[in-house]
Amino acid sequence: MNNIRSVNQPMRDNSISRRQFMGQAAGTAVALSYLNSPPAVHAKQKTTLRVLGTDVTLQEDIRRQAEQDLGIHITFEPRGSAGVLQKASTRPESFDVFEQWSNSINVLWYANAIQPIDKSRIRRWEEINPLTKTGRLAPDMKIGAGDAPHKILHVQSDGCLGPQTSDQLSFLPYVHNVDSFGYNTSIIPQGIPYETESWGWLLDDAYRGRVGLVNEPAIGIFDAALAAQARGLVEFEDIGNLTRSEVDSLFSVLVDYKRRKHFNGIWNSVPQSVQFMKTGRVVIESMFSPAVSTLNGMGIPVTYAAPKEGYRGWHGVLCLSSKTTGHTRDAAYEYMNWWLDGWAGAYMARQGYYISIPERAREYLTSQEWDYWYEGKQAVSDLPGANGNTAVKAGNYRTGGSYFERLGNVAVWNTVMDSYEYSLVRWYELLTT
Amino acid sequence: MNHQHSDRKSKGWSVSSKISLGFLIVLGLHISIAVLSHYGIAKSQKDLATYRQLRREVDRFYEIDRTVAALQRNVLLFAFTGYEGPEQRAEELQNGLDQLLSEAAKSERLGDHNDIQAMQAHLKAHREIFAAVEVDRAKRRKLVNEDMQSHVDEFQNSIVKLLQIPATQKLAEEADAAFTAAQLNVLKFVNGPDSLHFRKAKSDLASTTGYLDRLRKNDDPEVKASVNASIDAVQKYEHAAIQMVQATRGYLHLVNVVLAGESVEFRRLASKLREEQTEHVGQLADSMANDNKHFQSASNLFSIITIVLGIFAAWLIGRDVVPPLNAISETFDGLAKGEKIESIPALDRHDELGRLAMAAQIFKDKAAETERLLKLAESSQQKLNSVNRELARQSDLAEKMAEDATAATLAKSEFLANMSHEIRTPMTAILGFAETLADSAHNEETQQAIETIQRNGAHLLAIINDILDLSKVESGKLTVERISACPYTLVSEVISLVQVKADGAGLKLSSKFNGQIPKSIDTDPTRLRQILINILGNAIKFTEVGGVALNAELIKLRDRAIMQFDIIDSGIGMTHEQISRLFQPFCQADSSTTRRFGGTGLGLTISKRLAVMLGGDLTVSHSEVGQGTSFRLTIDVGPIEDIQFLDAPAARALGKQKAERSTDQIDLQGTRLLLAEDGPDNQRLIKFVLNKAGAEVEVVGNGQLAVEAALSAVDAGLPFDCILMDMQMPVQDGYEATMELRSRGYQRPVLALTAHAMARDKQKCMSAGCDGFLTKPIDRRTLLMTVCYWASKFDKDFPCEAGVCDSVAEDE
Repeated sequence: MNNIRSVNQPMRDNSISRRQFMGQAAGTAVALSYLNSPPAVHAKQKTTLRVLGTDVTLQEDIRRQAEQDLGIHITFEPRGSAGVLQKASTRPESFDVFEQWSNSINVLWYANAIQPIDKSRIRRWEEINPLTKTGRLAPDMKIGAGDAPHKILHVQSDGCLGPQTSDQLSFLPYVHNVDSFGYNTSIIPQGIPYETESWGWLLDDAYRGRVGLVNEPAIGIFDAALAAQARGLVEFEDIGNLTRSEVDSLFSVLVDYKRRKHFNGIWNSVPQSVQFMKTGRVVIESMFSPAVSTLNGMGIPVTYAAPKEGYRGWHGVLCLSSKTTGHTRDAAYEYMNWWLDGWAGAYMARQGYYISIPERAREYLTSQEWDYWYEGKQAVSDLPGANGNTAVKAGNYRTGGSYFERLGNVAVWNTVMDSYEYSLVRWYELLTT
Repeated sequence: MNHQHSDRKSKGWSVSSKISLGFLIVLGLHISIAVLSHYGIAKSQKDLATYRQLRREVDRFYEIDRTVAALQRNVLLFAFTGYEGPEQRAEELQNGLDQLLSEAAKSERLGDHNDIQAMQAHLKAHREIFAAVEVDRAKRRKLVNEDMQSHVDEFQNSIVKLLQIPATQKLAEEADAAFTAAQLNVLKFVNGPDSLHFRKAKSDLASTTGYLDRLRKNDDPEVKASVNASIDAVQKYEHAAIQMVQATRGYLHLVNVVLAGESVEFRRLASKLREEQTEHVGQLADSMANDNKHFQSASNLFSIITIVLGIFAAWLIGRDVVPPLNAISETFDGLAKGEKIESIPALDRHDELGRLAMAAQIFKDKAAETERLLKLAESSQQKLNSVNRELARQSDLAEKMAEDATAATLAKSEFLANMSHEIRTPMTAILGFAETLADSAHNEETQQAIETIQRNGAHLLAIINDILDLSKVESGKLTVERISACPYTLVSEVISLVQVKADGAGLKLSSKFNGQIPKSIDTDPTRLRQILINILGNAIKFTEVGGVALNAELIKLRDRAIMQFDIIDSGIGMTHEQISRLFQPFCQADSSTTRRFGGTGLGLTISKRLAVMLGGDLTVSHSEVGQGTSFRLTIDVGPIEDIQFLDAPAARALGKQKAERSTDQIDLQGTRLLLAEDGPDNQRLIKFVLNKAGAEVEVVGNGQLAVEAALSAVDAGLPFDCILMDMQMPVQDGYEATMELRSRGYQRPVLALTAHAMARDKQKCMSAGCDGFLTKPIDRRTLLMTVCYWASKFDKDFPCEAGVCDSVAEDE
């Protein structure tokens, strides 16, 4: 399953390098305050908590900090997304906490792999911002298509997941972000965020043979769909839940492009996407933000686009195994609560990720960091990454602007659609054409 | 300028250096071409090998591509069918790929290629993922075929009871129908995975559970149990179905996305590598073609440079070396031919040609030197020639002088011979008549005058004879002969000859033989006699009181017989100084001696020389002044074994005869003799001597008359007993006359008379037919003895005792 894991490997790699110098002092202070806090969880002595997930969040710094803060033993089992999902959905007894993305929640839920989270045990539930609860940060914002987090957050009375508020949650909202595509400005003229930058560029014949996609239907299919729609090649009723015929229409367009050798490669991992861009194999491709940071660090002028059609949003989920009970479940709750306390949010913020209670994270960020990462303001000084190295040069702006701007422009959320199984077959067709 | 500069500079280089340099450059270029060719070929071969290798690698990547395609098909087939065939085939293909990649990794160009490593990573991932797919697929099969079916069976078993109970029948039927619907939707999902089917199935299952829940209100425990069992079965079925769905989604995702992605990337890498290799092949082919072109060009260029340099070297040699070489050759030719060479070319060069020129210069200098020397030699030669001519002239002169000298000697000899003859002839007459006068003169004064005449005449005659002999010896004309002679007779004769002198000097003269007396000896008796007479005469002359003795003895000296004569006198003796000068010509022991004793001074000189000629010597064995002198004469008389000795009676007889003969009485009574002599003095002298001895003598004046007289006498019956024939006579000389007589059958003795006392004269006489030989001046005794001998030969009763010693007649 290495290849699957490696989809997100660079994130882990980044974090490994970042975690060495990151947030020790701040974390310690927070931890001390928690040790003195109410003892609901303190009865648990050296409980071992097994965390299954991806290496986006399963970072060693975080594990150590959590162990230190919580006084429990924590094991991280980071895997590639497919592997994680496969294991989690079929063997819930093998983990206590599961960390992945919202597009896997339906699978897990209907596989009875996870149990509902008792909302009352989430101490800072009220502090969690509206994005997860309502699908938007502010009422005037549009809600992205697909499995917007609020649509799958609450356990409905019929046992399904739905937008109706209830006391039980399928997951605890925490890390989230938006994705788009990156392009090499030495080849492609710098565009204007939200105005000229468009998903349609991915299917621009001008870049034929130098375009890359991510090899994950639950993600890549939306990039392709957004692109096709942007170019007016197809129309979708609901881009978040494509019908079989819409899938067929989309893939007929994509296969046609593929036949014309439009796509140079479909990457399986972030490092691979870096390699694609670095070697000039592609000049524009679907990207995750860590890859853009890496390339910029190499001096390759890659801009992470703010498409006028909106981002593809994704939301991380913290889930509780359906088989976890007792003290371990208590520890799991403590661990999930710990994530929202601020230290972890700040740690993730320095890698470009947002957390569901930004204000708590802000306590662990400098104002410059906050201004850059969340406010979309110019960096007034060099900013460190999670590993302590300079991640942002002074004078830079975060593409797409502030947290509000970016999350306010989510076109579609990563989703496992009903046509997922069918899209797999067509995806295969696209790959092998 | 450059050219001149280099030319000047090049003169500092030796020709061999230049030629060597030229050849080295050309050789270097040739080697370069060879090396280039070799390198080119080696590179081509290497490139070709690389090319083939690359082609193989390209083929390998095609193979990889095909294998991956086949693998994908089989994976897909397996995903949809779950058959074992494609599964095993997929694993085989994975192994095949692994093998192909391992081979590719061994390639030098690809071994550490990132793409190969990436492909190997992809393959490893593929294996792992496919294993997961197999697990999912097996799990799905198990779920569908076993678990779900068993739960269905459980449900059926439970629901059957409820269906039979009227109270529960209705709801049970509903539940059963809903469960059946759920099964149908699950089966739909199994056949065509779609979330919709499963969502319906879940909904159906929820309905089933809902219906069954309503039956729980029934209090019948049996019903309750059945309801619970049914609900349990439904829940289990749902769980299995969820597992089935997840497994299905899992492997579908893995197959369609992950494995496909791996394969795509894998094939892309393979394709990329293949293209790279193909490009390499193309580049290599191009580079090989280029290299070939370059090598060809380089080779051509080097060849052209070589040719040009070769021609340039030839031109340089032709320009720089050959002309001076030719010039020097011509110079040498000229020098060899001796032509005048004004100046030597290329003398200013410092190379071999310069050295050659230097050699030519030296040659030239030497030639000039040689010429000068030749001239010198020529003038020397001319001088030498003139000297030679002078020498030749001198030589001729010397020869002529020698000839003249010889002629002079001959003339002297002739002169002496003639002189002796001319002097002796009148001397014979003078002495003969003096003797005759002495016999008849009774007057004392007359007697003394006659004696003076005789003495001086004899002395004169002796001088003449000595001079004659010496001249003969000196001119080499005196020869000795070796004939058999009787030593006793010889000694007797000598003694008898000198007896007169001894008698005259009042000295006792004696002779004796010591030891055995040889019958005969081989020697020249005339010369021996001459020597003995000379020494004895000499001894008598220098002895005033006492006597002279002659002792003879035959001694042996090794194998030779030596006759030794000691002549001992009691004379005046000699000093050593006198002895040392004794045998020199005209030198007597003392100049005063001549005045005192007279003599020619030639006697001893002649004697000694004659003794040497006879194989012996004459020495003074002893001399003491005032006491006397002993001379010893030795002569070689032949081998000792040839010597025969007289027996004792013969010796005694001789001794007796000696006594008798010493009386000097020869009687020629009754003998008739014919004397042919032209000189009246000699006619008279000889006739007088012969008449005095009793012979009857008829005298004729020339040969013709002698022949007539002799023949008439024979005719008359009164033949002459002996004819004395002078050899030099007018009308007919003695030789002719004798020959005529012999030719006319005259057999009686003819004795030659001649003044030529030489051996050849005797031979000439004998050849003419003479029987004996007498020399003038006539010695009376010899004349009488000889005549007596020959006359008695024909007349047996003649008393001459010639038989005692046969050699007497032959000696004279």
